[in-house]
Amino acid sequence: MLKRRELRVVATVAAVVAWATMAVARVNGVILDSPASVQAFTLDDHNGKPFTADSLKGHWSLVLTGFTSCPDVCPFTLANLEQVVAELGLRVRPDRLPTVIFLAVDPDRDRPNLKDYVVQFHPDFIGVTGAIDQIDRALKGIDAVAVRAKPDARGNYQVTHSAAVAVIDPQGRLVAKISPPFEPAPTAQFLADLFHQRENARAPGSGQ
Amino acid sequence: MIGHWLELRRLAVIGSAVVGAVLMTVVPASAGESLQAENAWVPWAPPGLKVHVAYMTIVNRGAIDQIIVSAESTDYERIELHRSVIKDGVSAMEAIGEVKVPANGRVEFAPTGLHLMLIGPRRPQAVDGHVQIVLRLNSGEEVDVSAVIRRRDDAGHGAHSHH
Repeated sequence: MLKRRELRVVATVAAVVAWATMAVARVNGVILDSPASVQAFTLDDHNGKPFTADSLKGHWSLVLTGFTSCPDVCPFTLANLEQVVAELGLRVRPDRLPTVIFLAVDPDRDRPNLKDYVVQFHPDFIGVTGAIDQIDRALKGIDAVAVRAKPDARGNYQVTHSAAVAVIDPQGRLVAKISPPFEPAPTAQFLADLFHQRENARAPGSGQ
Repeated sequence: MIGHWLELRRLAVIGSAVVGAVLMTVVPASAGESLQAENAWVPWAPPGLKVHVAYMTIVNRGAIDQIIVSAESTDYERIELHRSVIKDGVSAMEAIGEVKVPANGRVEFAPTGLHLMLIGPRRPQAVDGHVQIVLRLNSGEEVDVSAVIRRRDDAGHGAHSHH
């Protein structure tokens, strides 16, 4: 009798653990042991205004890497981030909502279309691009990479880039990275927990 | 006993007649196209973008494998069969030579996986408009696809479907 009950308990625990593992696996989030400063860079936003490392300060940011000739993965990620921010709106105060920044790494092809490409997902999303060396500095700052392949005979070329989204805190520091899939609800919960934890950690000093 | 056997035999004869009739009606209907495209759609893209994408489910109801070797559209300069891959945290697209659709099987062209990359639009896109695509099979057969242009956030076709 007792054995059967024990078995049932074991089975229940196993099921709960399996379920929890599956639920957790839906967010591929990594929180850095210590926040990393983003080195200085100077880019332009999609309205042609300067966008620098300082522009990341004063608010949370989600920075993704991509290019406007990317028809599949980049729009999918942008559409998911729009949903993540919508879900976050149910969990955090409006002033904690992150700014979504699309770091466009293929400036020659990206510049003419950047605004249209980005704002189709949300009018507050910001596309940024600029000189290659400045893009590379920004990439390094968010621990991302981009490689532009050699053009083919038609002048077309592919761009490979980091799939992860960088989470930047209001001090302008890289604090976490999220990798696909960016399922809206669990990703929003991951971010809400992270924001909450960081704000609490700062609370002792916030009374000054 | 014998009556039972006769009964079975009669049923078998009726059965094969029914199956034959069904085959006669079904086979000619599907003989025109070995593959069918379902839920074909093109996410709306703002004017100026030179690269679009098409998604669909390709269904093979036939008894033999079919192989898609290329695609074209009068609406675009050219179409490439592509697959998105994420390896070691880096996202890349690779052109693929052919896509096999197994007998009695299906292949999904869906976000972050297989897709048709539509290059060089010849006319502006309009939501609810259609893109006509021709898939070419290695048998020489052509499969016509009409893909509707939708916004990505439309229910059931966006990045995230609501349940």
